[in-house]
Amino acid sequence: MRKNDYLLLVFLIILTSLGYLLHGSTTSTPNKILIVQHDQNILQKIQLQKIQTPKKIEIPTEHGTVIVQIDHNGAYIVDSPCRDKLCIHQGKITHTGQTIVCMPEKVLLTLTTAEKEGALDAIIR
Amino acid sequence: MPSSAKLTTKELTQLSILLAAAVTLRIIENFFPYILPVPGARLGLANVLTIFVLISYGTNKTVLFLAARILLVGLLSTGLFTPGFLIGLGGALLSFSFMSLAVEHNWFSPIGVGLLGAFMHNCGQIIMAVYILNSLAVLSYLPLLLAIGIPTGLFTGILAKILLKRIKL
Repeated sequence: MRKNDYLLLVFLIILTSLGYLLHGSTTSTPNKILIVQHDQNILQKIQLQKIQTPKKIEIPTEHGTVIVQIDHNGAYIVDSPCRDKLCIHQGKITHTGQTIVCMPEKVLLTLTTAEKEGALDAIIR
Repeated sequence: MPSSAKLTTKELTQLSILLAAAVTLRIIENFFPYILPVPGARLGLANVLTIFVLISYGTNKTVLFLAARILLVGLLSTGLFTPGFLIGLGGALLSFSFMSLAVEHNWFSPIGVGLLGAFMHNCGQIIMAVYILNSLAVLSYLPLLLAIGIPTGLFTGILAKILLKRIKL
């Protein structure tokens, strides 16, 4: 390894650490909002607090249906027509700032807070 | 570094063998998406060969090599112009641009080139995902991806260095 390689390595380590510091603020608050998006459109904004019993929501996509399990604490994808099933493997998100992406189906789940989201334009329970 | 733009028969044969190897590595990697803690994160074994070709044959011929690999893997595995394909393409384009600059200006050893390539590949993928999903939410994957890119980049760089030492074209 050359001197430049070490410089690059140190630079990347610092950059990554900064990224963690800037973004790492995933917090667990009770009033979480789950944003469900498909192909750039926001389908639903769900106040998880108000979910009494766990339920499934279905997102129709080009290849089938993505099924999301939600409860008062978080959400995860239980089934998807995509080939690699990476979205299912990502597991449950329970902290604000966390996301689940299913790239082949263009489905995006994001957890945020009411404060961050500002005025809600639609609440679906 | 042979710099003539014309491809000799010998080079064409060598590049074809390397291309076959790169396509194979890439497809094998697709079979094991859960090796690393982030689903879908890969070691980047095919990039070992990209670095090897870049340093041995120069930028022009590597463009050809990489374009062929991306098209073939797209056809054989991910499907052309699917979101997964486009994300990989974003990563490959950014990664290749920076690696070729680094090699042409002799900034780093193959290990540094590997590190740079992995880093830029992750950035390119995320940029493409942000564009496709039209949401900045995927940026939340970036710190973890970048953190994984450091060991995998070092690993591919070291492998490329060994290859360059062992294979005399």
